[in-house]
Formats: sequence, structure tokens, C-alpha cells
Amino acid sequence: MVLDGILSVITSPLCLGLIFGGVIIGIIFGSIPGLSATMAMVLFLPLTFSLTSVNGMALLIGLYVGGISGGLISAILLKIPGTPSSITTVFDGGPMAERGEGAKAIAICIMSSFIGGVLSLIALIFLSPVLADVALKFTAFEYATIILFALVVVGTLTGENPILGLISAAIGVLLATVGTAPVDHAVRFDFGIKHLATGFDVVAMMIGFFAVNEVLAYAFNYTHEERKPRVKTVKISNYGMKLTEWLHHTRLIIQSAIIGIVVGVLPGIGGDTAALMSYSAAKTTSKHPEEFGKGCTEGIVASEVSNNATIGGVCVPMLTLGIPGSTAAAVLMSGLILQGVTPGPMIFKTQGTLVYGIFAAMLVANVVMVIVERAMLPGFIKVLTVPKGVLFPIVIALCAIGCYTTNHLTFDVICMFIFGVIGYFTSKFGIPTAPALIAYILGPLFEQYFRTGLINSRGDWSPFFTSPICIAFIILTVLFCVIPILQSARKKKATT
Amino acid sequence: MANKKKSIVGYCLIIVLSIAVFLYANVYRELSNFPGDPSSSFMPQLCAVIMLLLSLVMLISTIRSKDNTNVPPAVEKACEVNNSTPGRSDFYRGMGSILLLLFLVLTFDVLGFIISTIIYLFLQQLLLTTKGNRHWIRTTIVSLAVPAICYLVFVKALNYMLPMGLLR
Repeated sequence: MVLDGILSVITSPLCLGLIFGGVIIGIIFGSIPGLSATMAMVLFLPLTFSLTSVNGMALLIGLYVGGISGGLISAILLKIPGTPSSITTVFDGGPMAERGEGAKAIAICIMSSFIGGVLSLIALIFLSPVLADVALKFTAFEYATIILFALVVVGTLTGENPILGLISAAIGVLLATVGTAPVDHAVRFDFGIKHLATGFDVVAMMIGFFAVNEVLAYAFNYTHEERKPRVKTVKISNYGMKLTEWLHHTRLIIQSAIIGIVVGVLPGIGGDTAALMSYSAAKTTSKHPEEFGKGCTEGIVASEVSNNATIGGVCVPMLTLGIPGSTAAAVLMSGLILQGVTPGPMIFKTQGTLVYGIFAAMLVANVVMVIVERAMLPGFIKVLTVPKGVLFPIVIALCAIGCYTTNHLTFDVICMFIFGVIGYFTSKFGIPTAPALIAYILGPLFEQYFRTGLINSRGDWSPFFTSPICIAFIILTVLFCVIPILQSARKKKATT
Repeated sequence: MANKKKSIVGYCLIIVLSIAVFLYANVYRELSNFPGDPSSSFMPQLCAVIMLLLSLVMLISTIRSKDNTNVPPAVEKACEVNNSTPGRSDFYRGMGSILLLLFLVLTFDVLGFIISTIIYLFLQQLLLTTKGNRHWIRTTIVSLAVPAICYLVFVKALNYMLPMGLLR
């Protein structure tokens, strides 16, 4: 069964061609801000109906793997994350590109994506039942405390001043309360505007906070930017680092992959949280935490390994429990259901060949992704040679179109503009925009799990303080909240 | 306005916003029928309280600090950059970019994405280059080629519905 599944992928030229095409299209979708892996998968889902189940799933997996890793390209070259999972890649990838190490950063990210994808695949093959059991043991209280921890981490670790980072995160959660509330479906802060009843679109917010903000910053500081000396692009060989340097990062890679897989297994949490948690873990355990955010290779390795490791993690509950943990997993599951396959605990017995075919397709897609992205690297780097006065207007035009295509609403394009202007002025004031964006994604999840938990316990808060997982994450939340604030205060005292 | 004053005004604005949100969110207090549910007002009010407390901390430490010692580094950096710029040309360039973006988003539906993008790309490229460095032919080609390629890729190849406006 295992061999049949693997052979059904690697001996079929059509299947390999579909994976190859899927990865290329996925990379293009992932690298354009506004377009995503999920959009590419939705677009090609009807096509899978005319294919065999293995070929159809291979195409969707190619699109998924390409789409997730494609986000790193714009994150590094333009400081605009192609997908929310790449937000943390901007923190160190952007500064590396600014000092001429864009090619190196991309090469490292490509290899990190591959390692993350393969490690998660291994976990998927050998640990699926165990990981699915772990996911089932988590109640709403555990989910709420994990998300609370992520919210505090994003606030305290991404800005120069942790208090301003926390204010930004609070603003992000507040913005997320606009629209229909979870649980009782009350419509909040819509002020009679019908489009606000569904809240702001995350793509519009992401493009506004990163792309529009970047263009405005360039325009307002034009003379200063033009006076900057042109940085020569550093030539690189192979995959950004020597083998010994990669081996030096073994602990970081394993740590980030574990975070990515475990977070991926938990339904709804996603690659953005995984990347953020592993970035914060890398910063905390690093010997040079002060270098994070200034172009540190450890930062991009941690971020890309973990966000790609979620791909395998997301497939665990989808295949073994029939629970799609993300929108991308929901599309994958739709692809399976379209083929008449019902995911669940018996899938390994009833559809073993297909399941192992999916695993083989994931491995092939990761290999294709590395080859294609490495081959396209010189082309990507050419983007940096285009004058910003030409590049930025093109980026904005693409962003506006990408933003519109998400929901086919001009309202989203208007929101993109508003968030861009707000983001520019708040950044100028010292409030970072990245925490607000990640908090905007996590806020509704926190509220849903928090309220569901309290409804289940009839208003009893004690499970937050009796569950070992909750206690561990509450302690971590307090530590991650207090320590950076104290460190920042001490630093300020030392400088005055 | 001095940096310290700018920071104080900013924190005061956040404090006012927090209080307004806290009071307004009371409307959603009674909507939930589930026993134990903290209601839909809980989350916005929690955010408002956190924003209020953190802004107060920043406000007090800014007031107590000497000169610019508690001004966020980004504000100082922005001021350094502003000091290095000759005249107000960059300010007009920035404000012009905001107006062009506003034009793009407001005419996206009415004129259609092709016309509005052509106009935006042309004017924005001119705005982001100095007089001596303008390449009129390149600017024109880019302004026409980008919307045309987008039309072929998104509308023709991917079957996305984009607003065509006057060209419908």
C-alpha cells in the first residue's frame, strides 16, 4: 500500500507535471501581496474533478506548498509579506535585503522552507495518530491561553518599545471586534455601513500596513532615500550558508519545526502564529538576541522552517479526524470529498494508497519548490535593481487588484488605503504595525475560544488555573509580558 | 511642535479613543443569551482598558522624562530624516502620494481598474522622480503595460471579475 501510493506519484509524468505546474503557480500567487495559496487552490479546485484522486490532490498540494513558500519573496525584497505566515520573515529578511544580502536571505529561506516541509512530512507519516490525539485533548481554555500567549509575544517582541507593541496588539484585537461577533453573532461597530458587518478584510489590512505604508514612507522621505548609497548585491553560492553553518543551526531548525508541526495540528491557529512563536523562541534562546530585527539569519530560519512545518501539521487533523485546521486545509479536504473520499480515522485503512500518494506528492512538491525557487533566484533579485519610483507604483497597482479580487469589493481597496495611511502615521509615531496585523488575525480566535470555554464551564474561570497546559502558558504569558518591559526600562535608564 | 509634545498628544488621543470605545461597547452587553458568556462587549472593553492603561503609563513617563528621552526611537528617527531634507518638497511628495492613492481607490469602480491604474501609475511615477531624472517613454510604457498585463492575467486567464467602469 505504501509503495503503491509512492509509485502512483513518482512514476506518473502527468502527476509530476501537475505538481511542477502547481508549485510554479503557487509561488506566483504567494509572492503577489493580496493573492494567496488558498486563492490559487480555490481557483484550481474545479479542475481536480476531472483528474484522478491522486493527481487532483497532487495539484492542490503543489499549489499549497508553492503558495506558502512564495510569500517569502516579497517579504524579503519589498518588505511586504505575500502571506500572513511571512510577516516574521519581513523582520530580518527586509534588513538583509537593504544591506545587499537579499539573495542570501531568499536562498536561506528557500532551504529553510524545504527543511520545514520535509520535517513536517516525516511527522505526518509517523506521528499522525499521536498528534491527532494531542489536538483532541485541547479544550477551548487551552486554545485561549495559547492565543493569549501569542498575542503578548507579538506585542513585546516586535517593536523597539514593548509597551508600544502591546498598544499596537490591543488596537489590532479592537479592530478585529468590528463586524459579527463569535458565539452570539452580535454586529459590533458597524455604524450602519453594511460592509462593516463582516469586519475588515485581513488582506486589505496587510497590504495597507505593509505596502501602502512602505510607499508613503518612501515618498515622505524621498530626498533621504535617494541620497542613500546604492548597496551592491552580495553574490551567493548554493543555499545561502555553508553546510557547517546549516549544521550550526540544527537545534534552531528542530525547535522551529516542532513548534510549526504542533501549532499546525491545532485547528485554526495557523502558520502566522507558528512563525511568530518560533521567532520569539529563537530570539529567547539565541546568544545574540539583540541582532534580531536587524537582519539576523536565525530569525528568517526560525520563521520559514516553522511556517512550512505547519503544512504537514495542518494535514494531521484533516486526514485523521476530518477537521480542516485552516482555510487551505478546508480546500484540500473539499478536493478529497469531491473525489468521494471521506477523511477520518479509517482513512489509512480504506484509502491507504491515496494517503501515501498525498505524502509522496508533498515530498515531491517540496523538492520542486527548492529547485524552482533556486533557479528563479537571479530573476527575483533583479527586482531590487528596479528604481523604487517605478517599482512602488507597480506594487500598489498589483496590491489594489489583489485586494479587490479577495471579495470583489471596492470597499476593501478603500480600507487598504485607510489602513496604509493610519499605518504610516502610527509607525512614524513609534507604534509598530506588525503586532496590530497579527493580533487582528488572532483576536477573533481568542474571543471565540475564551467565550466558548466560559459558556461550557457556565462562567467558571477555574479551568484556566487547573489545566497544566493553561498554567504553563499563563506563566509564559506573564514572563513574556514583564521581562521585555523591565529590560526596556533598564536599557532606557542606562542610556540616560 | 516638539517631539515630546507630539508624543503627549498621541497618547492623549489613544486615551480618548479607549474611553469612547469602552462606553460605546456597553450597547452589546445585554445581547448574549448564553449563561456564563461574558457577552460581546467584553472583548472591545478589555482592549479599551489595556490601551488606556498602557497609554497612561507612556503618557506619565513621557511627561516625567527630560526633553526627548522617552520619545519613541521611530519619532526621533523621523525627525532626523526630516531635518536632513531640503525644504518641504518631500512633504508635498508624500501628501501628493496620499492624494493619488485616494484617487486610485475612489475611481477604481467608477472609471474601471484599467483607466484608474493607468492614470495612477503615470502620475505616481512622475511624483517619485526628480525633474532631471524623468524618463517619459519608460513612464508611459509602464503605465500602459502594467494594467494591460493585469487585464490579460486576471480577467482573461484567471477569470477574475475586475471593475471595467467606462470600458464596460
